[in-house]
Amino acid sequence: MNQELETHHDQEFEVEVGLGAEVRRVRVDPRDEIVEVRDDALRLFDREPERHLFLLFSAAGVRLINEETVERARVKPHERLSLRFEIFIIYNGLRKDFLIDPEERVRTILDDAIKAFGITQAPHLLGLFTEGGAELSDQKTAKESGIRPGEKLLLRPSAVRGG
Amino acid sequence: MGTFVRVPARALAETFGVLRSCGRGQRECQVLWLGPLQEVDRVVRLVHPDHRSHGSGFELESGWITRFWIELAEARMAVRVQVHSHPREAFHSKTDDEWPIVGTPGFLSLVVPNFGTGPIGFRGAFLAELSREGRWNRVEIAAHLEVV
Repeated sequence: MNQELETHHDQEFEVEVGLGAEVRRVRVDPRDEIVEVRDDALRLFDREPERHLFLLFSAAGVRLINEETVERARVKPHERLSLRFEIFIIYNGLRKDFLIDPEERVRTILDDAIKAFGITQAPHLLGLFTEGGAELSDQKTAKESGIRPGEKLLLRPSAVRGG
Repeated sequence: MGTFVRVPARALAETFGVLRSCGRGQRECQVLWLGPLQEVDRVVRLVHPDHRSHGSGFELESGWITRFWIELAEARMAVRVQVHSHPREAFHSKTDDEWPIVGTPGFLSLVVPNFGTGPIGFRGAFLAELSREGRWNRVEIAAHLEVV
């Protein structure tokens, strides 16, 4: 097993890096740090200025640690890595960070946020809103909704009533 | 055990002032009690949301909720208790159950009778606490709110 890993990891190889539906091929050295792979990929996607908001994930969906080497992270030749970016969601004064895939549905982001904030009452009446007050459609993807890296979204009730 | 919140006497008096002046003995009204994010047992100020109301209900303006949510995060504050008035008896209605501003366990909802025109205090008031299961339970006011 170790022998096989060493064979794979003593020379450069290619990996695929996806950002949503788009894919770029990146040449990596086993001694490269993951952060270098991320930055190379973002350069190819023309998204380098926002690099601090992106993280790489393995084909199995495991978050890769920026400071680890490709070899230590056990990245395999031709593996399909993916990029996710950070957004911030606010609920009742509290701000939490979320890493999302551009092809992820708003419904999934909403469900993750409801769980992360521990909301138990009428979660179906909550929505994600932009800072401008527009409610995002559950059915659209993050990309279709125009969610950008670093964006702040509001998790709030669609209405507040009493009687 | 549940949530325990200390409310300044001045904030309580101010709340009754708002419920009375806004409701004029004819319409329901809401006030929100806010506290620092890191101090869950303190109320330090109140806000009077923009809302539409009538004799048996109210609804907050959606644009106001958006602005308020942003301001809360910037100020590192949170809503600790929602307070609203009822025309006569205080209780937690189905509408109150379904449409609160905050839906996390331990959140408190105080209902004040007679449009807040009675004496300042908790006489005749109704306090509900949100459970982990998402249900509102009536709780003893003295066990959850202390006027300081």
